[in-house]
Amino acid sequence: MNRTMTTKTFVLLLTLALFALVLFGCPLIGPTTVSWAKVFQAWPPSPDNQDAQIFFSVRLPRNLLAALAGAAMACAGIVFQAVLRNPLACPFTLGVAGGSSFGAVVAILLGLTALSHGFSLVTLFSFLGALLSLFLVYSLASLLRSYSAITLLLAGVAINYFFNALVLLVYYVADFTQAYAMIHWMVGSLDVVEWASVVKLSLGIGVGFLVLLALARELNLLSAGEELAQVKGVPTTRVIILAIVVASLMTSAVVALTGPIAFVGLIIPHIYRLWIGNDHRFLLPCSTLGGGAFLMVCDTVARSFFGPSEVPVGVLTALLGVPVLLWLLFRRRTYLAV
Amino acid sequence: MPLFEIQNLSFRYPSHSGFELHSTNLSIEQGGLVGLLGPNGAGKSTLLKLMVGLAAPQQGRVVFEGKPLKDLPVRERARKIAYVPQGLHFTFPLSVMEIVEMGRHPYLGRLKPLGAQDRQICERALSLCDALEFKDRSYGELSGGERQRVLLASALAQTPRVLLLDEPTLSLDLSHQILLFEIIRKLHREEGLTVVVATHELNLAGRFLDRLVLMKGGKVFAEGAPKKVLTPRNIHSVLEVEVDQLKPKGGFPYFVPKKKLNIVSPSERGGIRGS
Repeated sequence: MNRTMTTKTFVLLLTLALFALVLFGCPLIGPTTVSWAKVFQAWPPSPDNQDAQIFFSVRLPRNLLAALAGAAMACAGIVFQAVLRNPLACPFTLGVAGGSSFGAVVAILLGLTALSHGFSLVTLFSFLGALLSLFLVYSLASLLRSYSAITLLLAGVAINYFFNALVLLVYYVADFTQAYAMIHWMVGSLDVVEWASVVKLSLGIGVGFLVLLALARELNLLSAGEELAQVKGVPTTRVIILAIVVASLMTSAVVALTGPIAFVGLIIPHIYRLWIGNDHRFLLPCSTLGGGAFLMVCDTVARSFFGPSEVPVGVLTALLGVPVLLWLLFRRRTYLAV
Repeated sequence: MPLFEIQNLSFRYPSHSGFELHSTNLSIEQGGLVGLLGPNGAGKSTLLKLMVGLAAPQQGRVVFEGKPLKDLPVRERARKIAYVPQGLHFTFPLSVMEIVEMGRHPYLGRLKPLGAQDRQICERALSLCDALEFKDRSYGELSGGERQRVLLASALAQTPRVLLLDEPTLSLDLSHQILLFEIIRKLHREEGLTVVVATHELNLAGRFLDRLVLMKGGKVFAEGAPKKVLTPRNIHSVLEVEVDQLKPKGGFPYFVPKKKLNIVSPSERGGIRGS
């Protein structure tokens, strides 16, 4: 069952190639087919080159957003699973989904859907909501003077339920149009996006990923147990707080733009755990790239094959991801037996 | 200068009213091969945890190499003191080599990968623990005895000065218990390691270890050479069992438990009367 370095490196390179292929391939697919040759006919592309306009102004930024969102979710999923030592943990385990949904629905209820400084107020509110939920979870943990897995897990679940109840309350008092907008936001979608926000997001996600990658070996030890990590020389409390804060910020930033897209952060990590094992030095980059590629594919399917309208990408992630996970699970039953 | 000096150490868990350790004093010399014996709840595991810095005492201190242990950064500590806890379970399956390589963590820089020398140390640790043959297997597939040897190898990969083992023979069959004690003895003799083992195996401890510390109720009850510490009288007072002593010629005496002493719960008494 041990995977050699060569296998792990091969899977990493394969995932990287897949990521690159999907990043530039998916924008060619859609209700209007775009030709690669035509897009790069001339550089810079002329304004009347319709293929280039669709490619660069509409589909590429959207595809990049999908890549960033999927990558951040899968990366954060790995980190939460390792630190909380819980295979069911995902980026939303510490209440980020509840908090950000609450922020978004409040903004929608108050009619704050206009843009301000290039950002929608709904985005801003949802980011603040996510931060609020994290602040509450950490306050609870520090009140109890424990950052152990079980404290964080229980605090996160409690805060998430609390915000979900508030979301339902807001939903209940909203009118029909607002309620539709709220549901649309909560399912998660990638439809409205500008280059500016994609660039800002990519900087944030990139820095976050590098910080977490530098903690890969500590994550190996933490996922094996807090005491074990400490006796092998890991300053556990410091590393746990750093990893969780970075992963949470990445999640909050993505969720504020896209809504809580479910399952990517849970399924992609497990697919790679089954495939290459639990060494975070490989698991983290593989999962991050794989999550990005997976969400790009899902989004392409969601916007292309259900014309004239789109299917919310959050629905497709589950429909496409679950069979892959189950297939791997049946192939490697020992995964469950340990 | 002793390697470890435990000075007036008291510890209790926050949720407990009673003390796990109560004003304990003990010193462990460099190169010692020491056993901690005593009933459940005597404070053996707690003492080991305090010696590796996993818990902080309410009173007293642990001095390591002449300096307070709490002043030693965790990385430095991990280079000198290795600890094998009891009954380790991994949520996410890991391979044997991955677990052993964890022992090199305190020596690696943040972005520095494992070098050839690190790998060599890991392989040597596995071979010292008779575990090299399953280095490519998954930890989850191994038997209890094999797992224990892998954890021991991971501790050795830290190239420590002292090895603290918390009930390493727990739930092992007799031949694996002996094998493990033989490995411990070999590590002490050939690698010059100081070893402290918490164990319930009186006979094996008496045969394989050089010095024993008998604990009761969070205090040191007796300490010294096995022959001095393991007497029917001491076992009687600390473990509350009556034993027969068998003395093979020239060898270490063996103890065979006969019966538990006079402590019968009221419900048992009632039950006997009722029948």
